[in-house]
Amino acid sequence: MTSGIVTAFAMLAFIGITIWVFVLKRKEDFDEQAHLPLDDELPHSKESTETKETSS
Amino acid sequence: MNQSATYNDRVVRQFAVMTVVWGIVGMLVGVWIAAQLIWPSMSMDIPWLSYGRLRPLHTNAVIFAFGGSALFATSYYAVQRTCHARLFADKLAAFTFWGWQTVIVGAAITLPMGLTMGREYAELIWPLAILVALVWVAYAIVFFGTIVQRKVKHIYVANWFFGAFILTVAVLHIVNNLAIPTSLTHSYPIYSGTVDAMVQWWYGHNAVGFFLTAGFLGMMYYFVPKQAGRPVYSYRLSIVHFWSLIAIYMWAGPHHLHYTALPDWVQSLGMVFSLILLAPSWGGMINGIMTLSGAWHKLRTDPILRFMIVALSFYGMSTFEGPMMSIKTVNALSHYTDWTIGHVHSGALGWVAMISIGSLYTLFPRILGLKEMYSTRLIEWHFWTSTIGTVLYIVAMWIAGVMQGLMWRTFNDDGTLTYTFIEVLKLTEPYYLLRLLGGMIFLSGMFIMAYNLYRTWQTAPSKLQAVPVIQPAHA
Repeated sequence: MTSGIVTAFAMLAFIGITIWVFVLKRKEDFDEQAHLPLDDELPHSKESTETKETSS
Repeated sequence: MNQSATYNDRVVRQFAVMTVVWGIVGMLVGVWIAAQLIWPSMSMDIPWLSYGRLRPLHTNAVIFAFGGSALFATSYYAVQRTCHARLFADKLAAFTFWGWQTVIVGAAITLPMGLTMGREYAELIWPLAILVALVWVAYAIVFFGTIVQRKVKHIYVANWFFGAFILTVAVLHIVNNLAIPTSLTHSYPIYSGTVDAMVQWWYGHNAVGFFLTAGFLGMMYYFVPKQAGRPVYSYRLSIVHFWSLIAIYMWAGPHHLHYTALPDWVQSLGMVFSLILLAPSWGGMINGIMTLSGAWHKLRTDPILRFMIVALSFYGMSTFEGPMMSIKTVNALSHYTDWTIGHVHSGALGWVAMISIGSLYTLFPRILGLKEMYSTRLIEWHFWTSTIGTVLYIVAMWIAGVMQGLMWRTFNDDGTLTYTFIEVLKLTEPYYLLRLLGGMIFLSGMFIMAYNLYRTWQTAPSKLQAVPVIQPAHA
């Protein structure tokens, strides 16, 4: 009985997270977050990686 | 300059350098004991050189000294940069470094002396286990303190993985090490019998799941986008990946105890959860690899990215193999054979070591005020030695393991064993040689890395400038 409730709860939690992530949350929010590791260096070092990219 | 306006890269540098040092030490011990399995007389009857004492030294050195230092270095770096804040509490951060190194030196002394708690991957005697707990609490304060002080709204996904790794390992370590001391070097666990075994493997498998997986996934989610110069493939997938991985891993431990006194339903539960684990594991792998989508050409010129992508491929391979091996009928063949050792090393060398090495090559120039490592060619060499070494190692162990499993379970009509133990051992010897060769090739790559690091350090400015904290793009 209890294990059934726990299983149902775990499943609802998973479905809930999926709906929250794919339906309710805004895409712009995630784009902003996804860029966090790319926006953390000073501009000059960023430029240097960009020039490297175009040359390759 | 105001101290709080710069990053604390000192502790990152310390841990990063020690990662290379402990990597060499731990893998050297691994190569030594691999040779001992072929030539047992190598121990020369010196007790502290015997296999039984050096094997835990090897596992502790590679997991906690090498892997642990890599995790400290990369998490401290990533959390500061993605939070746009200096590491919280400098002195406490310094304590985590010196405390962790003391634990490692303590392990290197006590384990060869034969002082052990006898719990796999938690062998350290109770005074050292307490020091581990103290360091870990300090680690949590430093890490979460930094997150609290962040200048951006969001907490980047890598920090979620690092955070889960830190919290869970604290719980696992403390629960598994509960013991009653009888002297300074000896103690009895508070658990007994089957419960003791279950606690041990609840700890053991989650050490794999949270220390060797969640922590290194944090590394992956920061350093793969960084090195590729593009955001992670799907941020949405990364969130589903995070929650499903941490929810499922907790329950997979019983697959280490198939066909034992553990209740049958617990074994089946462990097996089912291990099978489900395939989904989040592959979700994460796909998310990492697909980050390169549209920029695959970078793999041709950048051996650092190649390290990371091959690491993710090995991660995918071993997280497919693991669920398969957790199926009870497969486990009946694979358990207690060298197949398990092969599986572990496909994860440890292929995934953990290669993602760490790739991340360190991204990290070193940045913490030394340089644009790149001294030699990209040497990174290329390191990449090939790592890949070839890992492949040789795991192929040797697969063949040896399946052969052992099949021979051990072959019976004559009268119920006696068809093959004696020594017959199986003799047939295993060539594969042990191949494993030794693979291990030596992998280790040689670590020496190349050490040399490359040494030369890179020489080109670094003699007085390292602290890097100022930059203003976030979005507040």
